[in-house]
Amino acid sequence: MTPRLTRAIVWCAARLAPAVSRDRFIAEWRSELAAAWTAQPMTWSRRWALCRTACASFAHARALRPEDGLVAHVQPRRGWSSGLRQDVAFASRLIGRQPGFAAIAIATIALGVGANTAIFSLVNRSLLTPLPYADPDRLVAVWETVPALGIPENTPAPNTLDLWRSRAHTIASFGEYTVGSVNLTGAGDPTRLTTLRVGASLLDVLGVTPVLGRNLTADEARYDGARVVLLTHAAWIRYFAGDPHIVGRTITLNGAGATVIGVLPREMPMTIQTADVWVPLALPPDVNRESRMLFVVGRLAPGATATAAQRELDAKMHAPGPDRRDDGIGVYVESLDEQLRGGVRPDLWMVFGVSAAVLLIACLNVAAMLLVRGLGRRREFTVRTALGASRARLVRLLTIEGAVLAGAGGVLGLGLGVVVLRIIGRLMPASIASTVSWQLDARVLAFAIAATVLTTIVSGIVPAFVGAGSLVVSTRGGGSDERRATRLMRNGLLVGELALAVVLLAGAALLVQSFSAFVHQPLGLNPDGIVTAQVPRADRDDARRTAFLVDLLERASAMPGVTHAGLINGVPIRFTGGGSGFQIADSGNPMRTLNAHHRIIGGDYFEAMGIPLVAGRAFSPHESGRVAIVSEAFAKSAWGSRAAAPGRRIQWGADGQWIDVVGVVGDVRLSPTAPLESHVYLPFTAVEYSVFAPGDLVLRTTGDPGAVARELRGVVHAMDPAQPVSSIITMHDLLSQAFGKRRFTLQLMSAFAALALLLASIGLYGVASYAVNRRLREIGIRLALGATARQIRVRILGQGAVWTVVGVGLGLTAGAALLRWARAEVPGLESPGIWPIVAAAFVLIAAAIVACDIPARRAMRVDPLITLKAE
Amino acid sequence: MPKSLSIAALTVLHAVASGTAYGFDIIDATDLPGGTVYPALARMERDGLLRSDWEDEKAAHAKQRPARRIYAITTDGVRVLQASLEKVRALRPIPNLRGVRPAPSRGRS
Repeated sequence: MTPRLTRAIVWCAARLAPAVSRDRFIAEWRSELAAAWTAQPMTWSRRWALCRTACASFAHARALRPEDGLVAHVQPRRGWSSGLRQDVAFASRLIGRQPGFAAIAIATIALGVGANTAIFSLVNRSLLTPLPYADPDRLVAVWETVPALGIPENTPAPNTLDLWRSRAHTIASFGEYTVGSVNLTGAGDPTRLTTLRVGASLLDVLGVTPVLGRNLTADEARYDGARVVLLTHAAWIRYFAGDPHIVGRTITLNGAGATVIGVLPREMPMTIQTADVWVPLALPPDVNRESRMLFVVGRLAPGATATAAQRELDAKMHAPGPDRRDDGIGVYVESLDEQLRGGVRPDLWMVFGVSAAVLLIACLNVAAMLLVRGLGRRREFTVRTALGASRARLVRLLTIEGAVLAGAGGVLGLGLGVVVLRIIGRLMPASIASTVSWQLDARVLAFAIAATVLTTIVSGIVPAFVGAGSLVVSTRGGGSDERRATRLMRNGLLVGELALAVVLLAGAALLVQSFSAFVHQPLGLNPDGIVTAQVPRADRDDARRTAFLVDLLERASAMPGVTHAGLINGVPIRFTGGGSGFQIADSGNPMRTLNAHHRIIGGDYFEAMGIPLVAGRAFSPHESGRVAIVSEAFAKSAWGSRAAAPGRRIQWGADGQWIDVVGVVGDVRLSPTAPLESHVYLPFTAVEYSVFAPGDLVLRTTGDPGAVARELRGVVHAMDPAQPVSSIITMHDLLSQAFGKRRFTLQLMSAFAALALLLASIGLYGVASYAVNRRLREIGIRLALGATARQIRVRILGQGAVWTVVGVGLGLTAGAALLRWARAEVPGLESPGIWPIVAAAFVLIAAAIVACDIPARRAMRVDPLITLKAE
Repeated sequence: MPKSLSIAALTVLHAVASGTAYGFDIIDATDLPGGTVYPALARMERDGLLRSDWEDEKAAHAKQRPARRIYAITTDGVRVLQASLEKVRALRPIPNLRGVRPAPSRGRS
């Protein structure tokens, strides 16, 4: 054993020798020692003498100068990089020796980095990557505004677009489209496809080239042009199995042939509307060119900005001239990027901010753990300092340990990020999935690395600087207590972590509260048992179509499990548009106009939807003539009360014909986030309105909605095998889709808040458990002097409680600020109340008690005898 | 080249000059602590009074031990050793040293 000891002494001494002489030094001493061991018979006094001689190697090493080395002219490497490998190896070994500590630290960092990488890749693809169009920052959406009626974005009429085209110089080209639907037959089951009816210039304005085939020509875009169609990538794959020879094939749309001329690129998910096929706009020559129906995209002239275009159009639309517009209609130019992604931007940034906060918590956690562990290694640092390690050297060692942990956590976190993205992808509602996508690319990778480096800095370097300094001083002073600065630092980290966790929990609770407020808002209808389906009838003859729909209503009401059947041109929640102005008779002002949503209905629509009739009568099954039912809000603003409405008259459109109001029903919310709105209902059976052909069937059912859905398909198929039935969905599912985005944000927020809680608890536990270990002797003495185990536990808990209260208090202050901000910023959040942050504080305090109680219980079981003997 | 050597360095140099070649043997021969011998060896080698080299490996392995480092005196070393020895010799013995009454030492008890 003694030879090994002497070798070890020499090895230690060699650390003091200049690097260039070190090998020679070791070889010389080892050979001398080996010779000594073999030369003489060993006595104990001889062994002792050899050990003392071996200690002389320290003096030898210190006497050596770099120029004593074998290669004396080579300057030894000094500074940051020398011994780096050695330090990394040392740190890795050290970490391997404490697998529990390492596992917690690495898992903490991995969770933080993983969550951030996942969210960043969403942010990257959805907000930072430009739209998949040529020069996307030159694309703008152009809207008409009607400030007098409070309409910020209205679709312009063809005449208005012509005017813009002729006058605007800042917008080089305009592309227009409108939306519609067609029935596709001959490719599997009959299906209803959504269409984008596009002007010839739209693809050029966007700068998109079809992946197969070619673009529309100006001739094809005319009314009497050839019937052609462009397939979106998704429709090409879904309905035609990605057939590479699809271009030139004829497919059947609305019963007539149309030639496929091209397939659009896959990367067009962010088009203004999601559609299956693009067809020529083909406005008929007799179309009302004052009818507001076009969506318009513009490409700015080189060097122009959206603001400049806005100014120019504002000035020119009101310029004197023969076609001067004086009807109070304005223009609104907005960047296409803002138009398409503006909706998801705040939510995504919020989630990103939250995930960054979680990373910060993870960093603080690891920093506190490293600091605490550093304090436990005072003896090691004492030896290092005694052997000549400088403070910089200690800082480097601690930093490298932090970096090794962060590196391992970062790699694991990247893998975790991919898993998290998969999970998020499943949770993501379809409405967001079309605008939000993700992909691991170089930028995401760079982000993950940056996050890891940041983690290293916060969790490694900061405690190393603060810790190493105080450690050295404390060892020199010979005291066994950590310095005040270190203790403050450790507790400061903990307090910061707790405060952040409270804010995150409070934020999540706030969202839960506002979400449940949304869910429980009355919709004006009873969603239980409602099944809706789209049965669009592509029949150009009004009378035949009406007859089909009347027959459909009769057969649907006779289905088992169906109590009422109704029709409408746009079910609430799914369809939110369709507003127009109605002129009011008998209101004192002959020109008085009120805005309301017009809906063409049939059958027992009100009974099927659960909308109450509050005055007058409902439509009869074969209602004819110009009659209307208005909603309560409309009646009140037109004539002052709902009872006054029946018998009054309104006018719709420019035909100058009066419509008799026969009844009043309750108001309906068109989307969960919208207010209750005015409606005017008209019967589709009246020849005047039969042109509108309601395509949404609403069934009130008592049994299994699935069975009703199957039955309905059979009924429609029996009436016309070519008639598609699509989007069969219960009203509850429709609502949960509408809540989707909010629910998604909520789920992410809750997950992050739970993560924050977990990390904060781990941090508390780690630090409390360290504090107990550090004070085992003190606890032993207290117990020996007569303290009860219970008193010890209370004492430990009490100290944890102080810092918890400080942290939670800080968090509550920040949470209150958040609450004030939320009140001001979040629409529909009338009074969030104080309970979310109070609940968050309670949850955290409970977690803190558990985290501190485990070490406190351990302290209770301390055997004073063993502890004191160990000292 | 140093003008003079400490007594310890002189003793070490003297031992090497007398043919004691290995570090541990020098320690034994001079009866100085290793912590004195090795720094002295290092310094004198740096000053060119000594030279060191590894002994023949085969010879060492024949004796079943690793090759040791051999110290040898240089011509400079011989010159300095002689000069130093002259100085030491010049210190004549003091005949009545026993009769000197030394002042009490300070600082140490």
